[in-house]
Amino acid sequence: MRVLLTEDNEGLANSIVHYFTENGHAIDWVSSAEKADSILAHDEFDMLILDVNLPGKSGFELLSSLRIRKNPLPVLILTARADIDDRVSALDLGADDYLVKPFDLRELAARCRALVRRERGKSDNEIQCGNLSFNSATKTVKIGDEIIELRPREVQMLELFLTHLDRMLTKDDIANRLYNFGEAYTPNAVEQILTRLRKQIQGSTLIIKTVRGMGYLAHVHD
Amino acid sequence: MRRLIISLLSFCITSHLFANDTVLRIYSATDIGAIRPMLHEFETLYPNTTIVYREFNTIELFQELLTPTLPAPDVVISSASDLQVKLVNDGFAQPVYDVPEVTSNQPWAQWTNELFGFTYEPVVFVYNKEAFINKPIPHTHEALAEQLREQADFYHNRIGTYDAASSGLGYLVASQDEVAFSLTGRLQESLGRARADIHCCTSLLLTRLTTGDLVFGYNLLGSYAMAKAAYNEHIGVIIPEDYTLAIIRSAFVHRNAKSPPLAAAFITYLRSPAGQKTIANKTALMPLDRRLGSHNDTNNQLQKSTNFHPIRLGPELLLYLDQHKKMHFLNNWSLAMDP
Amino acid sequence: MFTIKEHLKKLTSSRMYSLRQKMLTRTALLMCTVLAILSVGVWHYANTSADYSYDRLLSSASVTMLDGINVAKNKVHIDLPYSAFEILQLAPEDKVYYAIYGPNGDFLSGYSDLPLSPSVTEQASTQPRYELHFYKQQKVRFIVRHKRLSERSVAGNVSIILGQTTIARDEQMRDTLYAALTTLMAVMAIALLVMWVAINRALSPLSWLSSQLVSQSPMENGRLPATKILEVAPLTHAINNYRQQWLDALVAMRDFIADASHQIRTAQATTKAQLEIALSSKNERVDKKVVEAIYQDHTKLTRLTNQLLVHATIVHRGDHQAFTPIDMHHFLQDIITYAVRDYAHTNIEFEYVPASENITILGDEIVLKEALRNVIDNAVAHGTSDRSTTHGVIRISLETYDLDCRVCIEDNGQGIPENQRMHALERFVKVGTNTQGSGLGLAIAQSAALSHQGRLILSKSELGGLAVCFSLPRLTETLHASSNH
Repeated sequence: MRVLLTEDNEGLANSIVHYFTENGHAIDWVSSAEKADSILAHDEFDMLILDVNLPGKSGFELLSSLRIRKNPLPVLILTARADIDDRVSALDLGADDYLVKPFDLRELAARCRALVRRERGKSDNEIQCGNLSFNSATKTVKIGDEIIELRPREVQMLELFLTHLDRMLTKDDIANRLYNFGEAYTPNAVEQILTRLRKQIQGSTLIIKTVRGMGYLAHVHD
Repeated sequence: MRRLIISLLSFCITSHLFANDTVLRIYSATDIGAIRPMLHEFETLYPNTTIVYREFNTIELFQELLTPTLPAPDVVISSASDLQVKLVNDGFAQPVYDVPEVTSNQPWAQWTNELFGFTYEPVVFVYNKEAFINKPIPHTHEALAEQLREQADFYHNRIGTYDAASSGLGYLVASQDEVAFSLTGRLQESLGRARADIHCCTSLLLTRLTTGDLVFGYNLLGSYAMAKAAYNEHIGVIIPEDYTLAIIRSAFVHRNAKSPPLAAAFITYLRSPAGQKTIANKTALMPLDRRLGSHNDTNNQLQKSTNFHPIRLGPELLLYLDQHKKMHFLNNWSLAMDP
Repeated sequence: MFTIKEHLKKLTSSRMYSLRQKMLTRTALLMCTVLAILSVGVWHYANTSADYSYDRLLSSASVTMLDGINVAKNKVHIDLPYSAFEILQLAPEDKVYYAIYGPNGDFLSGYSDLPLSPSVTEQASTQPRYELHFYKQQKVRFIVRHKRLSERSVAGNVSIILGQTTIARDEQMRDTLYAALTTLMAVMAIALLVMWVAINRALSPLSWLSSQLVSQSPMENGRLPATKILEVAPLTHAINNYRQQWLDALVAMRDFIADASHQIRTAQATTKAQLEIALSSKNERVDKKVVEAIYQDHTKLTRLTNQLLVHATIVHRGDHQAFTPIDMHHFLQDIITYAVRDYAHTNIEFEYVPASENITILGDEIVLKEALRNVIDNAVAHGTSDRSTTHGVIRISLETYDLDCRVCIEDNGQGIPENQRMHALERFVKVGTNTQGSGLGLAIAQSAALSHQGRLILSKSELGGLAVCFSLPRLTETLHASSNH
């Protein structure tokens, strides 16, 4: 994962760079939006961590110019502004996620991974979620290096969750994906498949939560 | 209409006769002899002025203005106030502003700001002094009427008065007499019965009174009578005590005046203290300002508290100029005078 | 062009202006208008009355003159009476013109060139007619009057046209006009003066107020002296009220700052002490346990700071609320989704009990989100703290309650005893076994509920723990419709 960090506070930036490097991620650091702009022009990054409060051009300005150029680069906004509206406007301007300072570095890294994962899942066949990997072409599932045998419906369900990480899926959403138009299914069927799937992927970093009254949410905890 | 020019006198008072002199043309029904001192004085006040003075009798003057044969005058002067009023009423005059009042309480001596009176001429009785030795002289109209009745023989053919029919002034006096005095009709009848001698002019009547042809003159112009009586011991002047008509000699600026400012100045002069003093002291005329008196008024009769009845300058004078009214009046008058 | 625009802008811009001057100018303008209207009326009246007076002169003079017209010797006999002219003498300056016409319209006497003539058809019985003409370069008012002669020899109407110039009439008209106008203007002037005095009187409380306010500091708890003026009393009352609110807010803020300082500094002191101990340790290697403890305390400090700021922001946002309609179902789904994501690694189970109908409220999404998130965080933190054996359950439910909607967040923790619940809503108050929290979560929720005209209800949950319920007024259909337009 190659990350570009745009942050004017050197102390914080150094810590982030240190943490990301420790965890084996490539991270570049610039201190202003202008510099970020010029680096982004000729280098490829998996994502951008962008501070709002920057000297000169603000983070919001950089973000909106990126989105105007139809650059799909995932962007995570860091904000320390008192006004909570910042977070809303960040999402409105096309940021993919935000974090309010101060934050846990672990949290930051997890959010970054989630964003990159989501972006990669759209293009790559191989989806990596912590220690669980899934090949959408061969439909093979691995936890670490160990291949897990799954039934087709379980694979379908897993694939659905992996492509909708951190999003709430209702039972109907899942059933519609698992069953064809004509196929009859009992409401319990989804529960049963899920229970089996959970058992199979025990030990992986993928957690599937049930929210009664709403549905299901998959989250990678790494 | 008979146009008889009694005296046409082109009179120039000149000491400075320059081509560029201003000419003041005065058409007047006033004896040149009576007005000369004023012309002289005005001429000294306005040295570059040439005064052209033309004398008419009242009716001639009126006719001349209605149908002009001569150049239009600047100032028109006449004692026939009815004709003057008529001329002003018919628009022959132009307004003059800031003309001084001679005295206050004489509103009758001015009509609008066009016609201005400047002399005050009582209408008087004149008698032959010799004829009235040891005889009571009538001092009122009523007394005269009584005497005429009671002593018809004494007055028969020996009393004279103005001819109302031929003299403008005579008509004015006779008609105003009728307005002012309720017994005028009776008096006229008495005059008629006494075969009153009727004349056109005061001067003629005065001459006949002096000679004794007449013993009593009724309704004569006071100014001439007093002037004559002042040096003629044969006649005396009576200012009637019951009422005395007073005729206002008036002047106006003609609407076609060549030099209206000069004309206005002349009228202003006539009514100014200087003009009034000149009238009082140097002329036969009598000033409007009655405080000045007249040098001819030897008996100071003008200063007495007689009931003077000035003939107001005003539109009511038009009444007796109405052709029907006049015809009517003269018919009656002639009938009375010639019974 | 530009300058005109600028000028217009100047005119329309909110320049400062004098109320006194404006009122006076407007009153003066109004009065001028009234004066103009009245003047026209007065002019009309003066004309009418002058006409009336002098027409009567003409009328009586003409009647008198007609008296002098009779039939004698089979002819029209004219002997105009002197009295007719005496009547006209009442206008002494005016010139007089007349003409008399016989029964066949033949001219008998007077002026034959008058600008009008009697019409043959006119009846003697009809009213006299008045006309104004120019004659001999002057204004002349004429009357035409008829008299019926009915002798055998002469029968028909004789007419008299009598005219008089209008000098006296115009003068009377002018006199009346000037007198009336002078009076009018005097009245107007007095009215303006009274107006001026009245305006000054009316504005005097303003200067009194400002002098009172200038002499007092806004921080002082002084009240404006009572006024006897009924109209001013509400203003002083309002100012006093406003000032009181401001002072209250100031006191509240002062308290808050004091509390916040205390809390933050205490936490900072803790961390600092721990760091000092760690630094002064003779041991060369840092004990990871110590760092862990410092990290934990710092996390608490962070949370405290965050919550203080959120609280301050919510309280502050109440001042400039930007309320929008919020679909509560979707709103809660979003919040729950985020909560589930953030607590996915724990064994807490979330539960959502939706309402049977769509519920919309008018609210500030950000404030509500913060408040709900704080309550959920609380529930996560305390609701499950010592139930390691069972799963923590957090139930979020939405239901209608009369005109309000209720959003309840329940947990299966220990809850708060009933006698301490009201206390729990206060700032920095930690209840029961709570040692981790900042003591601000419920205070934030309370502020948010209040700023939405709602309230926060604490009760015991069916699940066994605490139930925190936001009771918020619903947006009814009509209200919703009107707010959309």
